[in-house]
Amino acid sequence: MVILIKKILYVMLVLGINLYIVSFLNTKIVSRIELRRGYKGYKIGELVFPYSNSLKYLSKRFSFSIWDILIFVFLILLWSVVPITLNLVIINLDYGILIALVFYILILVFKIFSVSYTKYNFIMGDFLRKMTQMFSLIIPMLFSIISIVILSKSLDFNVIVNSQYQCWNIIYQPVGFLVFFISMLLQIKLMNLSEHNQFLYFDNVSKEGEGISKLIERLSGYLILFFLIVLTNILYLGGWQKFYSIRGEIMVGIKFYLVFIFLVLFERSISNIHGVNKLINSIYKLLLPLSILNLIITVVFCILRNVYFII
Amino acid sequence: MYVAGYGCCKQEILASVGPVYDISRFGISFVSYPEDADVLVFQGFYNGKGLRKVINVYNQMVQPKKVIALGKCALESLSYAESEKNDMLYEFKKRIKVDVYVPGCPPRPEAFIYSILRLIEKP
Amino acid sequence: MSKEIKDKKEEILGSFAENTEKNLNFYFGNKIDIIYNFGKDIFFELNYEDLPDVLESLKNNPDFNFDVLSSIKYRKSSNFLLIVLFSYEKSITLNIKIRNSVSYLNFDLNDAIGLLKKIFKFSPYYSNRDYIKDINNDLIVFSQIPETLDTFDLYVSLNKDLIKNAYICDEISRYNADIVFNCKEINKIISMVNNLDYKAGIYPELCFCLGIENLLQIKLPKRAVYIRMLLCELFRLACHLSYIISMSMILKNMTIFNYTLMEREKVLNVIEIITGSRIIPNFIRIGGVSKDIEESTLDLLYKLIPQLYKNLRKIEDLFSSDVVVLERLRNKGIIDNKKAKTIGLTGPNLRASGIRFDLRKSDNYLLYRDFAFTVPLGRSGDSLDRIFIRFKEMYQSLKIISAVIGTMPLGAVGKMINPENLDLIPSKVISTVECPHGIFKMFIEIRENKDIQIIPIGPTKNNMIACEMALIGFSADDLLPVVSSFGIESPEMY
Repeated sequence: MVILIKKILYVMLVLGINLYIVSFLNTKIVSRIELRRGYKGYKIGELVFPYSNSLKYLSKRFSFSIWDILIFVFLILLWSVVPITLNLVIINLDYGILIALVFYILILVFKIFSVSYTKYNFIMGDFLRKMTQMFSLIIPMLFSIISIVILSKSLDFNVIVNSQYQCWNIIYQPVGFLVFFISMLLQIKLMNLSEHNQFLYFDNVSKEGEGISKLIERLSGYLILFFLIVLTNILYLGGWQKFYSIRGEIMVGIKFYLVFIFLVLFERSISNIHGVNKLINSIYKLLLPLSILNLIITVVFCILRNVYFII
Repeated sequence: MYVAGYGCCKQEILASVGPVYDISRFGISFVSYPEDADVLVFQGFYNGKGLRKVINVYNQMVQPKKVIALGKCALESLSYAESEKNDMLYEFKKRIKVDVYVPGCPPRPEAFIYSILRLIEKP
Repeated sequence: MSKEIKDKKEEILGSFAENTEKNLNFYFGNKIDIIYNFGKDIFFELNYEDLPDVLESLKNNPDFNFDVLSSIKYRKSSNFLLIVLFSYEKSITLNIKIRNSVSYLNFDLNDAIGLLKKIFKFSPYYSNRDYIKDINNDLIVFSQIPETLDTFDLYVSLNKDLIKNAYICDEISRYNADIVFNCKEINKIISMVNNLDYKAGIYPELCFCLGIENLLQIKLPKRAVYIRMLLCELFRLACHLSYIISMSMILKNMTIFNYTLMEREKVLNVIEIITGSRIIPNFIRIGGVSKDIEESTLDLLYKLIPQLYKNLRKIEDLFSSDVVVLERLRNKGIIDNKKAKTIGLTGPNLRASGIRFDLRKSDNYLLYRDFAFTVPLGRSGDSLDRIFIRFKEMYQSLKIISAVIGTMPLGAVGKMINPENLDLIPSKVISTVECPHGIFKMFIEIRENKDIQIIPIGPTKNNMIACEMALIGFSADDLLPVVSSFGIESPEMY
């Protein structure tokens, strides 16, 4: 029991610290890319910026719905399953990856419901459009995850990581990694991470904050980002494997921030995605065939290796 | 902050968003829903229908709310123009109390930012 | 050699105008009294009863062939109706003022348009069409929400997801210019008139001053003309940059947004050093300009040009390398060249659909013939072409600016003219400039007691018609980028 509480505390601590650093880095990098010199002026103030942002939301009207609570609960459930390192996981399941994906999709569904509380109709329509895009992005991602699962013959996170002790999966599956990364990037773009300096909110769901619901929306955005980065790390980049003489825990941190910085840079360089038909078409033309091709190749490879013992 | 109207002053407000006069370093952001806004910026050319729209926007805003009148056109219509009783401008003057007047045609972005800072210091 | 060819060209074009004048006299000699000829603009008055016959023969007779209705201007208070016809082949404009033979009756605009309807297809667009608001209101985009769409509301009727009909309701921008521009003092007019185009305020000023100078036959010193040209191109740069800013805002690419704002800030800074104001210049006077440019500012501008060129290239690369932008804009909102000609489009929107028509080349209203520049053309006239044509025009104006700085002559910048003591006789002038949105005309009428009335004839209404036409048949997702790609922003319509 004590160990469990200890683990929960550690996970919360790690997530909290990372939340602070990531939101701080996000504002810094984005402000540098967008040429805004305002953030340079605040030498001491910038350290408090993430907190002041959240306080700003709380100082507004007090409003939240039942869906916000559900999102919060499922975020906790999601992070109880996903391992950050070998020991830093609350519940160790044999089919962890399945449960995590189910929780992730459920969170997205609850987000739709939480937004449907607004009186503006077009926000709802816009959000539904975004969500359909998001789900159409998840399909190729699932295909590339399945091929990983076939390769390592397990749904357990630990087994997947341990199977990469010789060579990371990115070398076996470069196409799958590409598909995974693109779909992750577009999902984060749709969730609209860097959200200041928006003169107009027309084709965006986001508005200036409204109490706890806004705070939870932002929090869920960041935690989903963490989940996707950790998932990349586990599936393709070797998880908490040792890299020469560097410890696994340190490698996790390094890889986490590398992936994050790449994501932010790519996210800023593309413009907002809009128009559901167009995007779905391009996904079906490019990402889905690639992921299916990747899946077929891995299946053939596994059959040749495990059944006929050729390779 | 909600910006109403169109015209030359809107160009300077746009410039204040940009990298040179970075308005977001003071924690100020622009919204398009009146419910979220604390400050209404009244600027540019208006006829009767435009004024009615601004009154609608003002009524939808939540207390406490402030109004900035920006530029020559707005000031002229608010302070010098004659208004009759059945006029829309009369209605407008009766309903809306302006807190800060910013002169200039158009006022520079610094003047706009300064007016907002005055509002923050002395509410 | 090249000069001879140019002279010949001008002779031919000049003979076009003379020929049409002769033909007008020949065909309708008894119906019209006075014909003014201002180079490319011909002006005459006509009785209301003769209107349908004359217009029909003007359209169908091969001697005239004026097949484009460019604009209709109507003022209820002063009982004024002006019809502007245009022909792309001859590039001559016909301005017809309608006279009222029965003086105690006011014109009814709908009545006149009922007459015009049979001859010109797009004439109903100039009438009051507010009844459409009740019909198509499946989707209403109110003004004030995004930056570009702040002068009008959009009423759209949908067929499932596709746009069946669109109506741009410009009721909030019906700004009564009649009150402002009935004035005696010329200085006051110059300081007020730049509100007509708030993104490039120098063009209405220039247009007004050119008209008065044309009337008084004032010849300008060369340096003053060069300074005017320099400022015109600088304002063209600023205007096109703000167009790209609003476009990037609609597409939600904040990186391009900030980079472009940075460049615009540089251009505005130079404009401020020269004129003293960032957006509204109030700089051009009758007989020259108000201030001289110092050598140091010219040096500063000359150093800025390669930097601007490099950064603009970078921004264009950011635009053209973005797949999302290309997917959203390519083959959306197409105006092909036939449609563009019938609507009467001008400016970059016309050139995007592949028709070479630029007043700076054909009319030579300032000393643009001294410099070499090309008129960029688009291919298909879709939304993407409308963006890139503006980039190309900006490179051309950078080229003109550097040439102007290189060959800036010395001398006075203006004649000593007191605008209050001008001897103005009652008469009418029409002057034309090529502003960043299209062709900007001004009808200046000088009455007794030196009372001046100005009626601006701008390109915005034509752009609006083109926008309404372009939206039909596309999905509702493409609404905002297509609308903002036309760059509709001006209160000069009424």
